[in-house]
Amino acid sequence: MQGTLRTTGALVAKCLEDTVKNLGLLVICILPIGFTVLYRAVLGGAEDAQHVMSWFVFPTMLTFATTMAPPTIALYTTALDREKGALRTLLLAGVSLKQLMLARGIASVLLTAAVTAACFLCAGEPAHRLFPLVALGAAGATVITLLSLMPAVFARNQTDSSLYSIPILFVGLAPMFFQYGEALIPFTALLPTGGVFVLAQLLAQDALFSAQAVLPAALTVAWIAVSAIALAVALRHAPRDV
Amino acid sequence: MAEYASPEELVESEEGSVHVECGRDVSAALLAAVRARFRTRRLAFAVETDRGSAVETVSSHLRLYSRLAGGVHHEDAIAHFGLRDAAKLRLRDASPAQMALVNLARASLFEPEVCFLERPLADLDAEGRKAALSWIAERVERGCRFFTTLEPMREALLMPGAVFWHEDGRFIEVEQDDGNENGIGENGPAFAGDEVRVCKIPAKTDAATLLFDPRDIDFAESMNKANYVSVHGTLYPTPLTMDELEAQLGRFGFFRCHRSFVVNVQRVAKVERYTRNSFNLTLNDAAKTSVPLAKGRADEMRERYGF
Repeated sequence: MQGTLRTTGALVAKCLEDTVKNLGLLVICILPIGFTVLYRAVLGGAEDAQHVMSWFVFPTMLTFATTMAPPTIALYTTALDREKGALRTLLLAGVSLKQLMLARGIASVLLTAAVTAACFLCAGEPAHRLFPLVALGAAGATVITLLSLMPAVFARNQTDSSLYSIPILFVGLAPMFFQYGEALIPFTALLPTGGVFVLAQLLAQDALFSAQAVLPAALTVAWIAVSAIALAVALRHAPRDV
Repeated sequence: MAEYASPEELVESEEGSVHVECGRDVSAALLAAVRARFRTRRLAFAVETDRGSAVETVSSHLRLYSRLAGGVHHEDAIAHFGLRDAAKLRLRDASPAQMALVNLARASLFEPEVCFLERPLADLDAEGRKAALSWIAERVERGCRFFTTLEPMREALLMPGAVFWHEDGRFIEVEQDDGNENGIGENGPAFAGDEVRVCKIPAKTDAATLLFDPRDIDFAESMNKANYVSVHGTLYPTPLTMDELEAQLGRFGFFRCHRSFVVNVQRVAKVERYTRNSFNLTLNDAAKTSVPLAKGRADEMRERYGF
């Protein structure tokens, strides 16, 4: 047990360190912070600026944050390591693919939570919303992380990872686009990150613990469960790297 | 001489450390056999394709594996393998020699009971070979079992343990030299007075037969049932047998240091000993070539040349 914890801890630390050291990856992960600052500057002193920030901008940034980091950390870095031979080196050192995926997943969720907190600070939201927003960010990141780890099991190189990440990006950002269609808005919560989006909007109304939150919360948990099962199935059919 | 029909048979044998001259396919098969056979033991691997991630430095790479292994501190491995100057170097910028040392340093962090190495000496210079061989010897003394795949045979013969070559699907043991045979060179014809004796060693190329002055030859080697002379870092096949080479070259200061090697003693810069049973001659050629010295012949060399 102690060995497993040590291994996982080492891999999580390495994953975070590699992301921070890779300028390209870092920029992708912190892009949502930049957009939050931009939106806040653009909205400026507008009459309903804070309402727009809470109702639309922040949930959008939350969706953005939960969608950008996980494919980058989980999918791209795994594919890159496999392409360069680093994955094989890890597997020969006794690290299992499951341990590696778990570590990448934890790193992905942690980084997303940190980015969410930073977005919160830039958005000027009331302080009591910090923890719930970070929790929502972590929940949304968990869904997208699990969805990203599934193709990561099979991605052979950076080209594969770019290809596989496209549908994940669309799926993750879909709640944002659904807001532009009146007919689509009621179905937002059904999307993988839609539940988190709707919960963020409820949080903006201080209605996070109301009856309206039950369905989006349940759908988010269901998406986490389905994605976890799909990942477990994918790992059973993982290609042999060694 | 032992023979084994498959990598699994070879790995199952009680040969101790095993070093095989073979190609990459056979190396991969051996790796799989070692993993399967010793899955419950503390294993370490260093293969040619080993890499770290793109942004890792030597130090951060070894630090990670030190944490994974929970054994040796990575700074100790960096010190032993002479990587202190390269500690901050990114792995993608490391030279092949540095990468080879990093791979060995990484394997050392696990303090393995069984270790698989693929071409561990291939890219190393003299200092690197010394660090690698001394670590391997030290681990063997502590009971570690090594399985290495190497090319050429010369490198395999530097390793402590049984040496095999792979041919037609079989692993055939190389007869190791204990120096009990008498070299013909000892009783070879003496240079008599004013007699002029021309000696040229023939070697073949595709288009011509080359005739080498013995003084230009660094060493002669027997490999894959053929004999070669090394001149300025290049191996040339020669039709002469090892005994004939020993007889002809003996009077030019050559010594039969191993069943498979005749070395120009004038080219020997260093004699090193890594374990009780393994000696190594380092030549002063550009590549700082290492040639094995059989244990049984070490005494003879010492007596003849006084070192």
